[in-house]
Amino acid sequence: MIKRCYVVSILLLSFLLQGCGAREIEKKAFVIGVGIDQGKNEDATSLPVMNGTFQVAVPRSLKPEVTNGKAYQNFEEKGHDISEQISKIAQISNKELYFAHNQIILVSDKVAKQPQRMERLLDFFVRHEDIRRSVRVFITKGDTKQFLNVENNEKLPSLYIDTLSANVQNHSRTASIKRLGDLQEDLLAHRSFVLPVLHYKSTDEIKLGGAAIIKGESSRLTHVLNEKDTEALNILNGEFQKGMLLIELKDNLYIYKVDKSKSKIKLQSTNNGQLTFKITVSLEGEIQEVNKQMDTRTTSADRVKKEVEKQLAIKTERFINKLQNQYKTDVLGLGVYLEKHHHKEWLKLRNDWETGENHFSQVKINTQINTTISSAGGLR
Amino acid sequence: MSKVKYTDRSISAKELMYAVASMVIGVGIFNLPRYITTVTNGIDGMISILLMGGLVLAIVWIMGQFVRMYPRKGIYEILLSIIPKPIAFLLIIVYGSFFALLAAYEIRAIAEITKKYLLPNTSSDILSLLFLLVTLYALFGSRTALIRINSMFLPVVLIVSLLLVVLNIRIMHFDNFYPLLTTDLKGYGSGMINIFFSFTGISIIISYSYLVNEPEKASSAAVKGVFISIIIYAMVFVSCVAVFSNLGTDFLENPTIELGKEIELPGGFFERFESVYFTIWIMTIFNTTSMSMDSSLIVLESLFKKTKKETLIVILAPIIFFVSMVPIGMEEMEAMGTFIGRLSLALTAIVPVPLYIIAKIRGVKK
Amino acid sequence: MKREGNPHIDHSPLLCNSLSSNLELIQTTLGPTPDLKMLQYEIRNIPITILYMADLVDSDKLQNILKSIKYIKYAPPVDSSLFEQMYSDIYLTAQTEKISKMNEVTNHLLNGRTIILMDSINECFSVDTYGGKVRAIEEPQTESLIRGPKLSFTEEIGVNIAMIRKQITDENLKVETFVIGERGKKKVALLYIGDVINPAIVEEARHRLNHISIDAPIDSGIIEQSIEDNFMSPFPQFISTERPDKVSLSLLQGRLAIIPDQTANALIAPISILDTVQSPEDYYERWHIGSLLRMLRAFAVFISLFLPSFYIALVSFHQGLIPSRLAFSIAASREGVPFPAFIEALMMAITMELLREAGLRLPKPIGQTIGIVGGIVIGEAAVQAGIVSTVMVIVIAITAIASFTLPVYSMGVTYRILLFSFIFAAGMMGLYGISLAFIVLVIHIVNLTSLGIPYAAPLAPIFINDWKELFVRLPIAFIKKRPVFLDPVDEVRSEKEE
Repeated sequence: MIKRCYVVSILLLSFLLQGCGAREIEKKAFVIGVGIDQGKNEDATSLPVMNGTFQVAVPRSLKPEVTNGKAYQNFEEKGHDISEQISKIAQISNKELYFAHNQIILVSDKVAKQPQRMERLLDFFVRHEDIRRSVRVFITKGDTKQFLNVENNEKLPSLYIDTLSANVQNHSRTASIKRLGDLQEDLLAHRSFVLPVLHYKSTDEIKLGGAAIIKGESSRLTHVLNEKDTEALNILNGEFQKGMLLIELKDNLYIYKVDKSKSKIKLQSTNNGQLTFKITVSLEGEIQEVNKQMDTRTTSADRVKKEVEKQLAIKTERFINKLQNQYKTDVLGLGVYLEKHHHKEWLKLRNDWETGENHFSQVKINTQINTTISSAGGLR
Repeated sequence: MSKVKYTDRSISAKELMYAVASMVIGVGIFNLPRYITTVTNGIDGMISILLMGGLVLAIVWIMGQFVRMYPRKGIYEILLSIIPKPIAFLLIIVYGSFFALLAAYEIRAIAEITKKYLLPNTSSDILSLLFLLVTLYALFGSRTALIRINSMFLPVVLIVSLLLVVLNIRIMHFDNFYPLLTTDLKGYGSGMINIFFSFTGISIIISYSYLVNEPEKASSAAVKGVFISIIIYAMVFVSCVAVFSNLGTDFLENPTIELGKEIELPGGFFERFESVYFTIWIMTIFNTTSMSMDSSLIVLESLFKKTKKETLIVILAPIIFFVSMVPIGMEEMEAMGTFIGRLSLALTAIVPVPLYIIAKIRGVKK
Repeated sequence: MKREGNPHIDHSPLLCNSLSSNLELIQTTLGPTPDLKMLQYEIRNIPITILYMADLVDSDKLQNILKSIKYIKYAPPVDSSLFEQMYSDIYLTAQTEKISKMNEVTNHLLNGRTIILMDSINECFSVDTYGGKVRAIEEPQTESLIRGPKLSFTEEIGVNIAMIRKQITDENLKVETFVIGERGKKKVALLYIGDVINPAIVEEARHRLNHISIDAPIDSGIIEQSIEDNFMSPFPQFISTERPDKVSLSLLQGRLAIIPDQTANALIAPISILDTVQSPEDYYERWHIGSLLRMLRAFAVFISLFLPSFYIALVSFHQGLIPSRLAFSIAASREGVPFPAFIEALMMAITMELLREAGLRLPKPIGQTIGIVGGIVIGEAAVQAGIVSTVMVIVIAITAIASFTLPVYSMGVTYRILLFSFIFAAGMMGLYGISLAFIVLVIHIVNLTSLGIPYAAPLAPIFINDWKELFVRLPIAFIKKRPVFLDPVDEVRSEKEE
C-alpha cells in the first residue's frame, strides 16, 4: 500500500510544481545573429565600449503566405560586454533573448584589431550553455550593423550569411569557415589562424571573400589577405576543395577545377638550427572549361597539368614569401605541426616563433605540388 | 513444487555484469575527459585510462574471487567470519555511509546538470527531490527487479554512447591526438587517480554478491561489466580530445555533455541529438543512484534484521536528501566528489585485498 | 444470501417421495416463471413429470428423451424398477445423472438440463439437453486480419474448445474445467499443452481459478480481473482475444489459455509487455513482412506514448533542441494561441478521446461521420479560431493514428492512459519529467508479473534467444526454440533433425 500512496504523492507533488520554469516557444526571441562593433567610450572607465547588434527572428513574418513585413528585428545596444547589452535590451524587448538558435557571430574589423578583444568578447558565447560551438564566426569589413540589414530572397540576413558560407561552390577565395568551438581552441592555444571576411556591397548583397589573419600572440587581427593570397593559403592548407584556377596556355584560357585537395607538412631537416619544411600539396580535378576556338583540339592533359603546377608553384611561393617577411604570421600550421610531431624542437622555439627572433620567418619552406586531371569534360 | 527457473529472487551472472557496468558509469563520465586532460598532453591520457582500467579489473577480479568464497552470504556475514565484530561493525558502517554518500552525490549532480542544461528556471532542490522520489519507487519494488532494470537501460546507453562517437566523426580532428607521449610520469599518475573516481561503483559487487545464483561466474561477469565501462570511457575520452583538442577539453566544465551538443545531423528532426542523449543519461544516473541507495539499504538491513525494508527506506531517504543539499556551489560539489573518490579508493582498493588474503590464509569458516 | 461458514456444508433440502410436494418446492424456489415447462406422463401408474426451461434446451435432444419415454411406456415391463429402466434407456441417448438435492435440481434446470421426476422416489434424473439458440461461428470483428483463419470464438465453451482442438490435434492438449461463480455457476476451461508448458505456470493458474469468489463470471473480463497479479497496474496481464488461432499459437509457445463459458473471448497468459505489439498475422505472412510490421508497431507504440509529450517538452522548455527552421515555423504557428502547449495538448488529446468514444458507441455509418466531423471540422475550426496551433493538430492526429495500429485493444487503452501521464510529466518538467516518468514506467513494468512471470521478459531479465521474435520475426527456421522466458518443458519446437 505504501507504494500506492507513494505514486499518488509523486503525482500531487508534480501538480504543485506544474508550470514552474516553462517558457513557451512564442515568448522567446530567437537570436539568429550577433554583430559586434566598436563603440564610443562615453563614461569614465577605460574599458572599451562596443555596440552589439542582436538579430532576432520574427516567426510570424516567416510564414510562406506572408510576403511583406520584415522577418527580423535588430536590437542594438551599447555596453562593455555582451551580458550588459542583453540586460539593457531586456528593457526594450518584450521577449527573452534566446541564443540557442544563434547561427553567426560577426566581428567588425575595428574590434578585431584590438589586442585580446576578440577572446574577451567570445567568452560569453563559449560559456553560455545554450549556444552551440558550431556557430560560425566572420570578420566584417566595416560595421556589422549594415550587414545585418541586408535583405534579399532570404528573409533573414543572418541566415543569408550562414547559407552564403555554405555555398563555396566554384571558388576557394575565402578562408574556410570557422566554427566557434575551433576558434576557441585556437585562441586557447595562442595559434595564429584566419577567419573569413565579409564585404558589404549593397542593401541586398554581401560578398564573402578573403581572409583575416588573427595573430596568436596578441589574438588580434593583423592583416587582411586579398582573394588571391587567400587562394594560395587554401592551396597550401589543403582546403582548396572546389577551387578553380585560370591558366593561360597558347592564347587559350583553361579552367582547372579542383575536386580534392590535400596538403601535408613535413620537417625535412634541422641542420644547425635551420629548419626546412616541405609542404606537399596534391590536387585532383578536371578541366571544366576551355576558352578556345571550337575547332581546335584540347591540349593534352599532361601539358595542362604541368602548367597548372608551374603557376601554382609561383603563386604559393610568392604568398609564402609575403607571409614570412611581411606578415610574419604562421597561418600555415607549421608551428602546430612542430608542436604535435616534433615536440622537443617546438619547446625550444615556441616562445620566439612569431615574435622576437621570429623563427617562423627564418625557416625554409619548400613546396611540392602534385596535380592530377581526371577528366576534361565531354569534349576532346 | 516446480518453479519457473528464473523467478526466484536471485540474479544471474549476466545480470551482475549489466549491473556493474551501469553502476560504474555514473555522473563521473561527464567530467572524466577533463580530469584526464588537465594532467596529460594530447591523447596520452589513454595510457592512464588503460593502466587504471587494468588495475581496476584486477581489483574487481580479486573482489569477485573473494565473494565467491562465501556464496549466498551478505557482506556483514562475510566480514564477521573474517574479522572481529567491532572492526566488522565499523567497516560496515563506513561501507553503508559511503553508498549513501554516493547516492546523495549522484542525486545532486544530476539535478545540477539538469538545471544547467535543461531547466534553468527550476530550483535544483526540486529536481533532486523528484529524482530521489523516483529512486525510492524503485527501492520499494523488489531487489531483483531493481537490478534487472539495468539490463533494460544499459543496451540503450551503449547504443547512445556509440552514436555519440560515430555522429561526431565529421568534426573530429585526429591531429589533436599529437603530441604523443610527452606527459611526465607524474601526469600519468595523477591522471590515473583522477580516473578512479569514475570507477567508484565497483564496490556493488560485494553488496550484490549474495544474490548471484552462479557464484563461480561472478568474478568474470564483474570483470566484463567493468570492461564495458572502460571501453565507454576510452571512447568518450578519445572523441573529446579529437573534437575539442586536449586544451579545449581542459577548459570545458562537462566535456561529455558538450560532445553531445556538438552533434548536428543534417536536416531532420534529430538535428539536435542531445535531446535524446540527455534523456538516456538520466537513466544511467538513475541506475547508479538506485543501486547505491539499495546497497546502503542492504547494509542497514543486515544491521537491523527485524525492521521492515519500507521503514528503513523511509529513514534513509531524508538523510540522503539532506546530505545531497549540503554542498553549496560548484567548488564544494567538486570537493564532495573528490572525497567520495578517495573513500572509494580506500574501500574498494585497500580493504578487500587484505581481507581476501586473510580469508585465504585462514580458510572459510563454516 | 450471503454464504457463511464452511461453504462445503450444504443446507439444501433433499427431494422427498412425493412428486407433488417436490414440484411445489421447485416452483416456489424458481418463483412464477413462464419459461418453466412441465410435461406430465403416467407410466405403469406411476406419475412422471418432465421439467425443463424453454429456450435453454435443445428441442431435438428433448424429443429424443420424450421418444424413449414413450418407448418405455409401451414396451413390455422388465424386471428392474421403472426408475432404473428409464435411467438405462435415457442414458443411451443423452448424458444423464441422478441427483437428489433440491439446489442441484434448480441449478441443472437453469443450466438447460431436463429434469425427470417420478412419484415416490426421492431421486430424479437430470438429462443433458443443453441447447437453445446459439450464434454461429463468425469472422473476427475486432481483430480482423488479411491472412489467417476466418474464425472467431462464439459464446459456447464446447464449440470454442473444439475449435482449438481442431487446430492442435495433440493428445497433450489438456482441458481442465472449473466451475466458477456463486450465483451464476459457469464452466471455465483451462487449456494448455501438457508437455510444453512449465507446470509451475499451470499450478499457479489452477490455484488462482480455484480461489475466485465472484457472483457470476458474465464475461472473461471479470475472471481476468479476479485472477490478475496486480490490479492497480494499468497494464493488462492477460491478453484477451477472439481468435482461436491466436490462442493456439500461444499454447504452442508454452502459454495457457482460459476460456470461460458464455463469453466470446479467451484469455492468454502469461504474457510480456512486447506480446502486445504482436499479431498472429506476423507468423502467417512471410518473415520480411512480419518483421517490418512488428517494428512498425513498436515504433507506433513509441509515437503514441511520447510524441505529444516530447513536443510539449521541446516547445515549452527546450526550444534550443528544435532545429532552427522548424523552431521558427512552430513559433509562427503558435503565435496568438492563448494556451501553453501543455493545456493545448491536453485539450486536443481529450477531444480525441471523446471522438473515439463517440465513434465507438454510435452505429457504424454514423460513427464514420463523427470521425470526419471531429477530425476535419473541429480541427480546422480550432486552428482558424486560433485556439490551437496547426502543429499541435498534426501531432495529436499522428498520435491517434499510431495508437490505432496496436493489435491488442486493452493495451491500446493502457497506452492512452500513459500518454496523458507523459503529457503531464512533460508539462511539468520537460524532458527531465519525461525521463523520470519513463523510468517510473520501467520500474513498474519490471516489477510487474503475469501469472508469476516477469512482465518485462525477455528484456529484463534478458533472454537474447527470445529477441528473435521480439521486435522482428526471423524466418521460422531460426526460431526453433520456444520462448525461453516461459521456461517450457519442451524447449524445441520441431524435433526433426537438421
